[in-house]
Amino acid sequence: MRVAGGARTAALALLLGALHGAPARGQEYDYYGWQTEPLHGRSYSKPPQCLDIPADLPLCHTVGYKRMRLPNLLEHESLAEVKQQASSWLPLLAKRCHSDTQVFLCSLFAPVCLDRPIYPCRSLCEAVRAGCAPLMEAYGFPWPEMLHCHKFPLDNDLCIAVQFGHLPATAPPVTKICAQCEIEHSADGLMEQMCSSDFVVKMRIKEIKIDNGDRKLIGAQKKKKLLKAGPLKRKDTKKLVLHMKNGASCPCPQLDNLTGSFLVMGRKVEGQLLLTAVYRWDKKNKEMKFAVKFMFSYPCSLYYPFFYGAAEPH
Amino acid sequence: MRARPQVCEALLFALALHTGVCYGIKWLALSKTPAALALNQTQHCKQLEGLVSAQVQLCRSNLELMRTIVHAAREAMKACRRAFADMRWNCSSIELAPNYLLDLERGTRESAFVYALSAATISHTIARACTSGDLPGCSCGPVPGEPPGPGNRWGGCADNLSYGLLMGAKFSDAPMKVKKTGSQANKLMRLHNSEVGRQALRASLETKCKCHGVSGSCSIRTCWKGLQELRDVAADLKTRYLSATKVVHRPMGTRKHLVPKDLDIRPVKDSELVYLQSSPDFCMKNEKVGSHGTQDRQCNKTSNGSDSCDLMCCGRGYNPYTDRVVERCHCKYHWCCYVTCRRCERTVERYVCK
Repeated sequence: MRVAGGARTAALALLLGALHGAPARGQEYDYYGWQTEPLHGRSYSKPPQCLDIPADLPLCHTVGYKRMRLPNLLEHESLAEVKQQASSWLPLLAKRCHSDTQVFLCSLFAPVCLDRPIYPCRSLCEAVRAGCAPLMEAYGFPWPEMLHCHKFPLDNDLCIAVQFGHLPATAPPVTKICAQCEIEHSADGLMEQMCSSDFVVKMRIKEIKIDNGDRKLIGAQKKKKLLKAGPLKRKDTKKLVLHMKNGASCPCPQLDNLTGSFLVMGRKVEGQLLLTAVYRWDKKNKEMKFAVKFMFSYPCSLYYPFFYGAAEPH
Repeated sequence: MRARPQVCEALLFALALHTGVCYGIKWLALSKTPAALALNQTQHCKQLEGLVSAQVQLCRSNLELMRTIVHAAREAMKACRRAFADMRWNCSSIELAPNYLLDLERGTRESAFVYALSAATISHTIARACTSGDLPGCSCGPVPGEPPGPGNRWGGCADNLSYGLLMGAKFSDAPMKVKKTGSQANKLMRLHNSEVGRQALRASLETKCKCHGVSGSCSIRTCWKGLQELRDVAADLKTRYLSATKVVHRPMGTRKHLVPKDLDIRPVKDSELVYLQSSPDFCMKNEKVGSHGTQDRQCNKTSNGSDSCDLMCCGRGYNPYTDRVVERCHCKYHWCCYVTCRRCERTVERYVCK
């Protein structure tokens, strides 16, 4: 009897609660901003902070919001650490391999200040990866562990979705030139490329073969000059075979005609030589001459970008 | 004849006062230090509650340390209440510092835990304060002598555990070093339990690493020695609390030592918490033994642990009641950059002990 009575009372209370709750469902939205209380993180060291995105964090200074959360979502704990790690990604941004590259990278490097961390959606990560991973692979860099898309939440209302990737293309799609074949015209630009390359060699090309999605450049035996040796030994230069990653089906004007010499830059990755830039050797080109002559005088940056390519022509 | 009873009463009172003194954890009252007290002048040291004169002296000579120690007191209380939230004894009496009830005044299992946790917390907080640059007198911990492992290198800023242990012990053990306060058995017990806390903290030092390679690759990993979070240390000490050993004060050779009461063939281990007095079951309210009782405590009907209704309520039964909870729901992130939520109400059924 008592138990039954209790159950009835509880049921009635639940019903009343439900009825009472119903009108609340139509209430206006509440806005939630940054709270001073730390949500989680270390018990004593600095709780999460909300800071201005500094002007010398060019990766994210123009992202569309002005303040960021620290530690960020990559566990960088100081602005110095964020700046150091973010500098590697600037060249990728310049490549414009996807219209949401900055939105994605900055959601992790300089996340917005809200009362909870807001992660990029998995679909945003996958879209940016689809656009940019082939370019990174062309320079010998895999999509990094810290950006593996399974780490990010399946799409929901509380993650950052694709923002600009839905916009229609402003121009009909044109076959893009190979990344390794974009041409830098200034001596400074060439020297920057030489900084980020392991080796630089003036050479002739005997033939080109297609190997799956890559192009393979077979070096001629004669007329070879190692301008920057890097990890190459003398024996490495006997038979030079350079791989153009993902270069099988994109145009490369410099390689249409194999007569004459080429200025070639590359990296050594897991025993394989990857081509990162190729120029037709032109002894009348003053910029090229200057760059080759003063290559080792150029002040390469301490954390030089993981790859360098010519910026998109506007 | 009449004079004699008065003398006896005075003696009994003095004895009780003596055995009851537990200055060792009175410094936790620092958690109530008002924010207005800037702690930037030595005169402020006298205004702090719960300190013995040696601690006041340490305050004057290490003024820059005091803000960290005040923070440590707050953290110790939080960690204790969190670790014991699901137990009958839930560490709520720690808020009464420095005027504790008998559950912490006497040499109980509960006070053993609090002594250990307090010692661990003050050392933990100081060590972390060195790392974060809040303390001018110290900096990062030393680079370890052992190799960091293949593909790794030492770097970053290690938690300065040795400084934390040194200064923490100086402060928190000071009351137990005072002569003629409390019995020898109590002092030995408290010093031992404090050392157990520091031992647990030492054991929580682990290697942490970060990828510092180009573009986030793991080609280079920088590693440093860091302490686990305080709640993990507290959880470890709670495990030791549950297996604590009752001891007696027994002469061995020319000195007296604490030896296990029931297994007196072996010495006390460095890693085990010890207590001199058994605790009540904390079921009923009893001020004499420092028990708040579990009446009106919330319990978990579906749990099998110590917070289950059967265990928490000591078989007395429990009452259900309904509660209206207002929560955020249907939250949505908008580019760029804010979150909007609706407010939802729902009814939850809760249970409290009879």
